[in-house]
Amino acid sequence: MSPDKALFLWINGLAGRFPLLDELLKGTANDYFIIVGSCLVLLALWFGTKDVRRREANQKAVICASGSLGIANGIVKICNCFYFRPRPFTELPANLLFYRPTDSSFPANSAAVAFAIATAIFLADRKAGSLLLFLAFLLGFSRIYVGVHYPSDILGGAAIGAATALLIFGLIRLLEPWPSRFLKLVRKFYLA
Amino acid sequence: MARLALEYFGLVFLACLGVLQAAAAYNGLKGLSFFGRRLYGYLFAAFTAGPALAGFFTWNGRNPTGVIEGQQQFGFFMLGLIAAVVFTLAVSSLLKSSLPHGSPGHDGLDALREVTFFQALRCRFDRRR
Repeated sequence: MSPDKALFLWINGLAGRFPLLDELLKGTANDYFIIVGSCLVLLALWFGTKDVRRREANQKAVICASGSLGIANGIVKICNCFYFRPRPFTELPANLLFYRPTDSSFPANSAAVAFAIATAIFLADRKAGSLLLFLAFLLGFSRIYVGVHYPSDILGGAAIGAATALLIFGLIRLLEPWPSRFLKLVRKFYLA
Repeated sequence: MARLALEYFGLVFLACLGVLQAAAAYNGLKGLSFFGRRLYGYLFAAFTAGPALAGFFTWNGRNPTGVIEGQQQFGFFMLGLIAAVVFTLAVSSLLKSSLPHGSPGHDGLDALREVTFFQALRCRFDRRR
């Protein structure tokens, strides 16, 4: 058995033993809670940063995160057109705590999106970025725990998300002064 | 699908409303806040964003097979976010219309420390004339 499948069986084998942990990770594994939570952190960073310079850096990071999110999602969709990997619960005796997704297991779209947001913010704000990275790791672990992804699916998604964020971060730097000009324009309408 | 989309939109709207009020309270943006005291802003955030997040946390329990695809999710999230921002700007401008008028001393978001969004906009257009 491959190490990927062995690790999946070990993590997913914990499911069903601790009812409270099951309920907690079912909540964090769903497609909405952590992703929407991460986007709310972006909103808080946009409007809630006190220092003007810090705010501008954070707002550029929010733009970077939003762009990375969309592009990472697109890359996963393209990957899905060319490669289909069955979900672990169709191949192994998994403890499934979730509904049965029918799309490709690899790469994990939710992990790609969560890591894209987290990496983009981590590059600008270590504190908020660490929180988002923790949430992204939690999402990845939860998806394995509930039986819908192999660890390699999560790693693949995380790599796509992080690489996209790094790319967009570099691109935004390269495009200066346009991002700053855009923020200046938004500032004229009192929204940045 | 329409029910799921409406539920998702509603939860995003509520959550964004709460986060905006918390951010306004933390950042001292009186012109963006619905309330006169920061504490009320934080309480409002807790009573709106908290239940909305709880709604997302328990989503699969309520909708066992209910899935909104990634791109649709993005669309509904943006819709909810824009609705929450527009609602916040309009309601805070109406509730805080008693804030002293006049040209804001700061630029951008910082202008909303002293005046409301509508007051700031009016001031900008008056200056242009």
